[in-house]
Amino acid sequence: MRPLDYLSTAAAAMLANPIRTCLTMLGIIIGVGSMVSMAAIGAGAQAQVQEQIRSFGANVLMINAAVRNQGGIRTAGNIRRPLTIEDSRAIAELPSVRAAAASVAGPAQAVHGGRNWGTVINGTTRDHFAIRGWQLASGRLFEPGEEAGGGKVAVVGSLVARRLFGDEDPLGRVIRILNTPFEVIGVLKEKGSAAGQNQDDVIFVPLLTAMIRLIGSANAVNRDAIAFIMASSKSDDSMTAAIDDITSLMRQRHGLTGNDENDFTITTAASILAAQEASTRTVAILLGAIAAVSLVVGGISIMNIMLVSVSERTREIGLRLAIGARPRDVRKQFLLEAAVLCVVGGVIGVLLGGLTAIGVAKFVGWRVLLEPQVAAVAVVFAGCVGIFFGYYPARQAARLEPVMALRTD
Amino acid sequence: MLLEARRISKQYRSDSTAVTALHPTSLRIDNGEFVAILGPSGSGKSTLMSILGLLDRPSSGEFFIDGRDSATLSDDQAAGLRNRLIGFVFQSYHLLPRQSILHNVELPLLYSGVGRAERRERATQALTAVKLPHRIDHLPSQLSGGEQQRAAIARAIVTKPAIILADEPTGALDSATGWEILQLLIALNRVGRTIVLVTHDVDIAHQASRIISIRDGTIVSDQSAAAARAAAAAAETMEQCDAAA
Repeated sequence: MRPLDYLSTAAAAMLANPIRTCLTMLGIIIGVGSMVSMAAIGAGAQAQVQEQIRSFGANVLMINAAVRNQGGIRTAGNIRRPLTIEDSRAIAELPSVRAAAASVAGPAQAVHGGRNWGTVINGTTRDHFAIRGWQLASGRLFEPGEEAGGGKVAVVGSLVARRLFGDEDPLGRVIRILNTPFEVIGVLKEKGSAAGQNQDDVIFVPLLTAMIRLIGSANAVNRDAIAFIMASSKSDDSMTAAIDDITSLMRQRHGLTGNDENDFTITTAASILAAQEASTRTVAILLGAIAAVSLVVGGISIMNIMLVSVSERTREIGLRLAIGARPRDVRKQFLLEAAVLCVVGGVIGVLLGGLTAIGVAKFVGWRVLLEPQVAAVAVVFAGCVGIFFGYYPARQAARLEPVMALRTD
Repeated sequence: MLLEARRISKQYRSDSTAVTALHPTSLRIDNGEFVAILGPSGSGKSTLMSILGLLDRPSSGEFFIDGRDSATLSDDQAAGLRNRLIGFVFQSYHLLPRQSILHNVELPLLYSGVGRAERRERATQALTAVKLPHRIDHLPSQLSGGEQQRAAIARAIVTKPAIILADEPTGALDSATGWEILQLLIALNRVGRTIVLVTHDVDIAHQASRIISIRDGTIVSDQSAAAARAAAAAAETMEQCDAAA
């Protein structure tokens, strides 16, 4: 029997009972559909996370003071030794580091005319913008004189500009933060949100201005304490060198020796990415398990229907054996029927899953990413399910004795 | 010699009891014969035909088909011989209900690996030979019983087999239609096909050139149709004499 004849025989058997064929495929359709739509949603979420992290900056390092560990209890703000402006300057001079900028940050209400907006005040230096790759939409950054002299100037994020000024041009206007007037000298380009936080909801002021007039130092004991340092490496390749250099410099500055634990942490986009990838992998495994379970259930329903079909078509099998079908021809016929059922169900499932993902993107607003290789894997997997669960019924069919099968009514 | 059975028997086992359907039987059928196997239901004639058609294997004894010992045949080899050497005609036609007449007739060629175009051509020829060249795209249920049996005969001859095994081919038909089917088998015999016809009907059996009578799993007579007719006439005369006396 020729390969194509097997296929047309299987197709004829499927078309002979279309309603049953559709019902049989339902499990596979649902399994593959959920697999494809979940993969699309998962891939979309992952792409979004990666994009957010990219907006953080590929060669950006963030240095924070480590939280003190007291008998296993770690409390926010209870740090072992604060970072200082001097730490930031020393880091900036390392050969592997291009720039470093110290920051203090805190919440505050900003007022302009009749409008006000609660936002984050970030005191920092102009290097901060270069490190983050953050560009101005209009205006300018802090002058060195304003940074050294505690100038009352502000660079605002695009969201803050919209909230406080609406359609007006903010440049040259005065906003009040904690009753101190600040002149808006620059508006930043939109950067979007990262790690669940809208990065455009921020007002930047010179570091000294923030420490003296608005927030104070990051630590009640040390006047020079700052909250964190942002730094960038010379290139993507020198990230590892920069991490090593900063680590040994900080250990030296903080007088740590031997087995002393670091009293600071260094965060990079890569480390955030690794953490995020671990969590998305967990979700992906979970979704994969759901899809696998529904495919197995679909496969069992195929086996069920195939067994019914074999017993219903005993006479047909008997006749085929009588006129010269070998047992293996009968086995192949039923196996192929199961596989074709599953592959056709798989293709329908891919289409339905794709539509579901598009629907989710449209109506729920989640980002989805349809990947053709996922669809291909899903269809191939469905075919394998068909062959696996079709094998037993097909073997039953091939084992029928022709003389008994012919006599069955 | 086409078929030779040497002391073949068949027992069926159901749980603890064994039922003997066929006692040791020997039989030879040559090329070009038209043999009727005559017997009432339960006589073992269907069992005998199943063994002759390689659908079943004897419990004991030897069976040779076309010079080959059936005991040495694998299931696949037996399937190949059924495909090439034997055409089956059944009482209930056994056409696939959801496929067209043409497709039904093509079916044996599918299993001998014949290509699509040639399948179609040979199936059409076979349908013409049984005088059913029209309605080949119909489903079996759209045809009368006689037409369905013609299609089944077309299916049996489409591989040009040496033997046609017909199991009560007229059993489900009225006598006029049954007669036509019988004429078709006689015509096939004239062009060289060996026909083995299983029936319980004496009148049908008398159309064959040789009649093997079977009763309770044993062959009770094996004679030419002429001899059988003479015997029957003699028996009738005896009865009339008895009645007159």
